[in-house]
Amino acid sequence: MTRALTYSAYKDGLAKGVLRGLRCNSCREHILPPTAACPKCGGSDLKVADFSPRGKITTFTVVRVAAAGFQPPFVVAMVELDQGPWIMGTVKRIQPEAAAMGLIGRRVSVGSERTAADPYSGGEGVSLTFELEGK
Amino acid sequence: MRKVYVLGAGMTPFGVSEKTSMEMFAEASFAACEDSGLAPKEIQALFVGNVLGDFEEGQINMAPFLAAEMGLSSEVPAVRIENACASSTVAIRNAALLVASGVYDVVLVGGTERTTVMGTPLATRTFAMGSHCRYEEPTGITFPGIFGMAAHLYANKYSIPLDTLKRQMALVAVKNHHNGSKNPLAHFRKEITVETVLGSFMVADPLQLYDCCPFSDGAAALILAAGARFRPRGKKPVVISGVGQASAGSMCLQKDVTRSRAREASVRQAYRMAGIGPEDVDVCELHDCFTIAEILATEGLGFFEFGKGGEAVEHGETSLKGRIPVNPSGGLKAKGHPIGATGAAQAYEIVKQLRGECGDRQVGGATVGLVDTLGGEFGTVCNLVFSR
Repeated sequence: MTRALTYSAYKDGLAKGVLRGLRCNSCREHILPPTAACPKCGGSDLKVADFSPRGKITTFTVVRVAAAGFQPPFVVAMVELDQGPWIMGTVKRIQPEAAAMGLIGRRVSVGSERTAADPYSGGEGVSLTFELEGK
Repeated sequence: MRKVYVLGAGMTPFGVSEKTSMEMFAEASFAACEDSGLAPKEIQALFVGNVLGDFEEGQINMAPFLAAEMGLSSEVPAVRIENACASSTVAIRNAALLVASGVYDVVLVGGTERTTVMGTPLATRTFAMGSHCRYEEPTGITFPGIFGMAAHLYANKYSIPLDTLKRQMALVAVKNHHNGSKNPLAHFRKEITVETVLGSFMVADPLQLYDCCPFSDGAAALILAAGARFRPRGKKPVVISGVGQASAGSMCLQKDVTRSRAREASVRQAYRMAGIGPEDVDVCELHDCFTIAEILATEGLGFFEFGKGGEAVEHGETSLKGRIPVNPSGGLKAKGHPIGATGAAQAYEIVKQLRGECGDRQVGGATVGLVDTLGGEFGTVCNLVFSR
């Protein structure tokens, strides 16, 4: 089989401002992060699709003790995209003190940023970023 | 399938060790051999759980060195198993199945880890490797962060005010420190209060320092055996009566991790194999890497309804004298969490509990015990049922 969406192609998409994911041709599931087979039905007939970069926060944390290479504090959240998949990223333009339960359910737009390489990261990476919409 | 006996169990103290991972494993293994009455030369295979030996001491392929360390015959296959924090539970499951199926009669299985030599920044970085390296790790998410997100999900899903949940979580830490104070091998042997937890610094909201298990060093090992030559002494020897293991993808793919599908599948396998249900479990050692993790586990294992695990702690149902005593050893929280050794140490505690050898922390009359170990961000769950 040919892999429908590699990490490299996913990363290139983000660099162009496009959030690429997968659609299962068997059960219509939207899939992100990309996999080789559909997590729902196991089918491997998947095609690349551009996803709407919008969704809502389902949960979050404030990382205050960070791994080597990261500058705390910062807010990490899970977002449920409008098309269904859950993704992980960092919430931008927010004071850590403002990160409370009220964040859950807030709508966000999704962007990305490159992340620095460390000896274990297999080169430079990319991380999704979230900006709160509305007030 | 043959009946798999636990002939012996051994464990080092947990905490900060001057000994190397291999030295600790040998210490636990010789203790297990001594406990079993078998000489190491009877051992036919060795399985060791170890997660980060590469980063801690620059050691890969540790298993054959351990076989040599133990003076085992060169006929003995020696294998390191890595499933994050569930590594040695998985090692025990694999060893038990190989003994049950007749491939080996006597196996040495355990785990070892020396996390503290890494220091907190590298330890935090390497523990985060349990998340997806491409789609999650670059966010800077940490292990406490994963469980902080689980806690917020839980509070929101069941409409529990965060302050209420945090107090319930603190009570998990208070209970496990109480139990740990009675365990001479525990990393922390001091009682704490709810105020200790709620007054400690924030690690990853809403988890404070005392919601988190420590980085620890230690090792634990079991001797498993079957066959006519290896009947243990005593009328009611401990056997492994059920095992289960299941898998899940990244936290993103799992979505709502307040229900771990891997745990529910794994424990179902283990209960079915043992012919029991959650109501039959007398004592449980489960994966309390963070206080919220214990609450989630007690629900996933079937002890309490979903969303009610926190209330159960408030009512003392998981305390030593409660309906289902959870983590009598002190758990990962107080006994410590040398990740590769954790599952073997949980098994050690259950074996000792079923034999009635736990002194002040003994659960009276326990005949069925459950081990639950989580690896990574709910990616691997492995369960073992012990009975006598």
